[in-house]
Amino acid sequence: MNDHLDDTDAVLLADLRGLHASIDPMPAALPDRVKLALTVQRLHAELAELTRAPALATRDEPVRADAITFAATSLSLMVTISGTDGRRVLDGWVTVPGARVEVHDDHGTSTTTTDDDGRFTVHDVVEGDVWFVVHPPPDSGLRAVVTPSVHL
Amino acid sequence: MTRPAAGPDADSLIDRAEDAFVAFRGGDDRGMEVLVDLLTPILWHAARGRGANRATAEEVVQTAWLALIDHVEDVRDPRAVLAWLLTTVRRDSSRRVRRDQRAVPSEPAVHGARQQVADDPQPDVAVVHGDRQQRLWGHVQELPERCRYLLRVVAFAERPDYSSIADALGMPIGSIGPTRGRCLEKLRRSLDTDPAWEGYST
Repeated sequence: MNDHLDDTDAVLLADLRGLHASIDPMPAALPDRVKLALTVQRLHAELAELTRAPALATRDEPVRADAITFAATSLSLMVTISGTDGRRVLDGWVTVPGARVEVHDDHGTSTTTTDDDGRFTVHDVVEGDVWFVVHPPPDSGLRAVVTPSVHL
Repeated sequence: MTRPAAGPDADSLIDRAEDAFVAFRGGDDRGMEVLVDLLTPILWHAARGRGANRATAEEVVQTAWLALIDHVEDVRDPRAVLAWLLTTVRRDSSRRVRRDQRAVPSEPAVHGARQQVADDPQPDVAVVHGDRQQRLWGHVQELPERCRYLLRVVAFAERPDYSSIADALGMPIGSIGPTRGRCLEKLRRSLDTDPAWEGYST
């Protein structure tokens, strides 16, 4: 090593890190925006637009049943959210049958395929930020669609 | 380059970035997500430290990641992925800052540093938490610009990474002396002469 940094240097650098992180914090959503851009690029995909966001759960309505809708030129995706205790069940519908749907949450990815009516269900989605990638069947000639992330 | 043997420094930022990048090249898309989470903070500070405003810094960082995907094959040594991204961010930030400065109708009194301040106000005293940070901030501002930049960026990495980061920032250790020998030492000397500085324990 060229740098003979001692423990005092290490503490000082940790102080500097704290200083810069508090006076000029990185936007918390930046890593997610980067991942989204990378996925869109990698799949030559289309970025869907969020056309309807989940409503906030209210105290009078402990069971959540919210709907999200995403629209792109090649397809649309509608998702209804239910479930409690940090786990969500997503019932979805895509305008294309036989599409592969990836659900990305903070803990990984679940993959399923839409049935003949375009429906799909994913259980055990972790509460938090979720985004979707929809791959239409190859013979459809449609581009993959990536959604922005939404908070469940 | 080889990894240091297991020890307190065994898992430096460069080591972890290498693992994630190797996984990604091996076909694991999750590797790229890990890499983005690991390196985006240091890239943000590399862009901001070059004078990019917040919106430009976001754009520069995002563009560097997209460029990496296009140049995956060019980064032959997976240990060099951080250096590659830092170099890209530094150059792109400098280029955009120069371009924006030319685009602004210049008032004679507004030069580089002033321009940056206008665009990027000094942190509110309220934002700098506590006396200690405020005092440290005061001393940091006394340092030469290149030292402020180097220290700001290396603070977001681990010790064994410093020489390659200095290289990537265009300040090879050979040309400025060991990091500690110059920038960090300067800061320490300055703090040591400050009777109000309460030492380094946090």
